Amino acid sequence: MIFDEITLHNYGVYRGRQEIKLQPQCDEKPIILIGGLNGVGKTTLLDAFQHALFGKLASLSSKGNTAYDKYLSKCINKSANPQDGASLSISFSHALNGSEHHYKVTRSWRKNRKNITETVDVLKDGKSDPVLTDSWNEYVEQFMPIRISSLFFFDGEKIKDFADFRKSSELISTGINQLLGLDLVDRLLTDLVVLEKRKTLTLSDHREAIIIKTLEKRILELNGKKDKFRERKKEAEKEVSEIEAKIREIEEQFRVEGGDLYRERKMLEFKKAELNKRTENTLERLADIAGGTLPVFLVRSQLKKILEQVDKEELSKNSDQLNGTLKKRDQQILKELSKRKISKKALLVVEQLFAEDIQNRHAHKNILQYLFLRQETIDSIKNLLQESFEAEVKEALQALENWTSLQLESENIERKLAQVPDAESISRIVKQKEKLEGIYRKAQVNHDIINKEYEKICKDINIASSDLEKEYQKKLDTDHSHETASRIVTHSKKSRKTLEIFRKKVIKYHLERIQEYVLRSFRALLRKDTLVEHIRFDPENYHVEIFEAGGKSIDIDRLSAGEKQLLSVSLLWGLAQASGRRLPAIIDTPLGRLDTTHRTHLVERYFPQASHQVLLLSTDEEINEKYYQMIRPWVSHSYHLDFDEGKQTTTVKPGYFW
Amino acid sequence: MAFENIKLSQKERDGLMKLKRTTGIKNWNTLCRWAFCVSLAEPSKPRKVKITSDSSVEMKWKVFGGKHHDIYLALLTDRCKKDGESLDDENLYQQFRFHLNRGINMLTLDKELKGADGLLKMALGVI
Repeated sequence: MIFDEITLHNYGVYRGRQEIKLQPQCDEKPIILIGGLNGVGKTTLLDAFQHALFGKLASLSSKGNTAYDKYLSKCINKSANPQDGASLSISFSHALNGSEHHYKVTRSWRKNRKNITETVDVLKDGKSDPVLTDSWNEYVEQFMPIRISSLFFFDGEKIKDFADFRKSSELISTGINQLLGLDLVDRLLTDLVVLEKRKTLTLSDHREAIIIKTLEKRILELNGKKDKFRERKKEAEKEVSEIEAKIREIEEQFRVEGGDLYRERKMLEFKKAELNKRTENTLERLADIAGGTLPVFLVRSQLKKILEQVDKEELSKNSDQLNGTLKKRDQQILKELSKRKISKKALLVVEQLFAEDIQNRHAHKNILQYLFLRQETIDSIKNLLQESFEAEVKEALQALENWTSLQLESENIERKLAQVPDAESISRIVKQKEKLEGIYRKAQVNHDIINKEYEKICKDINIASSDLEKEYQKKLDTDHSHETASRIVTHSKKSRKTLEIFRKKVIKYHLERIQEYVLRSFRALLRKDTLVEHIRFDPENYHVEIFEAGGKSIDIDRLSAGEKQLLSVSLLWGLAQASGRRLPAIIDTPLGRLDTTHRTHLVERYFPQASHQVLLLSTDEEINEKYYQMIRPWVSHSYHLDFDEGKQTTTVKPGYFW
Repeated sequence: MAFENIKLSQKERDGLMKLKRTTGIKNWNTLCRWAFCVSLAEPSKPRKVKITSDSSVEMKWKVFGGKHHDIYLALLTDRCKKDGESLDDENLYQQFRFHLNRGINMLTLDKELKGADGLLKMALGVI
C-alpha cells in the first residue's frame, strides 16, 4: 500500500483546501519529509491519516473520550463556515493478486443546526464504488488493519513507553495476534468457549426429564386414583342395582297387595259412579218401559181369544139381522111362487131349503155376547198385537241386555273395588317405595358423579399419556441434540487444546522470527554493537528479555531513556517487518529526546529502511540541517507547514526549512 | 164405566211400597197394572178376600188403565166370563180387586224379583 495524496479541507488548523502529494519518486527514496514547528498541525496531520481511513474507529491523539460527532464539529476549522463543513480525502494504491488498484476515500461532514452529518465516499479506480462505500469500515481492514496501524503510524514521543514491560507486552501481543492472524485463533477460542458454555447449558437443561418425571408421577397418581374410582364406581353401580332390585321387589309387593288397583281406585270409583248413573238411567228406562203395554203382553193369548170372541159376537150380531131379513124375503119369494102357481112339490122343496138355511144360521145366534167392545178398542187391541208389542219387546230386550251388561260391569268393578287394599297397608308400601326412590335418586346422582369423575380421570390419563409420549419424543430429540452438544463440547475442547498447541507453536515460531527482526533492528540502532547478544520474548506474557554476551540477562530498567526509545522503535520495526505487510510508515516526532549517536543511527539505519514509504513529521530541532543533509539521499520530496498568524491557518508548502 | 174409583187397602199399599222400592217404579198405577196382569196370567181363579179400602192410595179407573183402560176392562170382563162370574159392575169390581190383591201378593212374595228388569223378563218369558 502506498499513499498517493492526502487532501485536507477546513480540517483543524488547515483552512481551505490543502493537498499533499505523497508518492515517493522512486524506491530508493521512500522518505517524504514534512517539517513544522510546534503547534502548527503536525499531529493534526498524523490524525488526519487515521481519521480519513478509520473514521470513528480511529484512535486519535486529540480525540480522547469525546463523542465522534462532537469531535467532528471540533475538527472543522474555527474560521470556516460550519455549514460548509470539513472534509478529508486520502488516495492510495494497493496491489492485490498482482494487479494494482487506486482508491480514494473521501470523508466529509457538515453541521446543520444541531446535527453533524458525515458522508463517506469511496472511489475505486476513479469510479464510485457503492459496496466499498457502504461498508468501508470492514473493507479498510483489508488495506490497513486498524490494530496494527499503531505499528506504522506512531508518535516518537510516546513510543519510549513501549520499553516498559506492560506496554511492550501489550504491543507485542497485539502485534503478534494481529500480524499472525492469531486474533482469529483467539476469537475462535473464545467462540469455542462460548459455544461450549452454551452447549453445556443445554446439557444441563433437564427440563424434559423433569417434565417426564412429573408426568410419570402424575400418571401413576392418576392410575391410582382411577383404580380407586373404579372400585367406587363398581360399588356405586352395585348400590344402584341393589336399590333397583329392592324397588322391583317393592313394586312386586305393591302389585301383589293391590297397589295397581289402589292406584286405579279413583278410576274405578269414577267408573263405578258412572256405571251407577248409567244403571240408574237404565233402571229409569226399564221403569218407563214397564209403564208401557208390557203388562198386557203377559196376557196376550187372552187378548187373542178376546179378538176371536169379538169376531164371533160380530158374526152373531150380523146373523140376527140377516135372519130377520132372510125370513121376510123367503116369505115374499114363497108368496110370489105360490102366486105363480108353482107345483106344490117344488114349493115345498124351496120352503124346506129356506127353513134349513135359517136353521143353520141360527146356530150362531147361540153364541153369547158379553164384550160389546167398541170398534176403537178392537182396533187398539189389533194394533197392540200386530205392532206395538213387537216394538216394545224389542226395546225391552235391548234395555235388558244393556242392563245385564251393566250389571256385569258393576259386578266387575265391585269386585275390583273389593280387592282394593285399604289405604293404610298400601301407604306403608308407598312410603317405603318413595323412600327407596329417594335413595335411588341419590345413588344415581352419586353414581353419575363418580362416573364423570372416573371418565375425567381416564381423559386426564389419556392427555397425560399423550403428553408423556410427546415429551419422550422431545427427550429423544434432546438426547440426540445433547449427544450432538456433548460431542460438540468434547470436540470443541479437543479443538481448543489443538488450537492452544497451534497457537503456542505459531507464536513460538513467529516469536523467533520477531526476535530475529527486533534483535537485528535493535542492533542496527544501538551504539554498542556488542551490548545485545540475544532478545527473547516470553511466549506466555511476551515479556522482553535482553541478554548480553555470555547469556546474562540485562535489566531493562537499567537501560537509559534513549536506549529504551531505541528498543521501542526496534520492537515496532521488527514487528512491522514481521507482519510482512507493505504499509507506509508515518512517524511523528521521530527523534524525540535521543542523543546524537542514536539520532544518527535512526536517521541512517532506520528511516530509510522503515518502509517503502516513510512520512516523517519533524520539527526543525529534530531533523536539523545536519540530519537533513544526512537523510537527503532517501528523501523523495519534502514539505513544510507554515502557520499564518493573520489568517489563523497553516498552509502546506513544498520544500523543507532550508 | 163399570166403576170409577179404585181404593186400596193398607196392606196392598204396603206391598206396593215395597215393590216401588224393589223395582224403582214410582207410579202406583203402573205397579197395579203389573199386579193385575200377573194375576190374570194365572189360570186359577183368584181367591176371595176381604176388600178393604182403608189406605190413602186411590185412583180413577182411567188413571189405572191409561190410554188402554178399555183393553183392561175387556180383559177383566173376558176373564170374569171365563171364570163363570156374573158381569155386573159390582162383581167386576170385586173380581178386579181379587186379581189386584193376588197380583200384589205374588209380586211381593217373589224372591227373584229384584227390579224393574224382573217384571220385563217376566213379561217376555226370558227368566
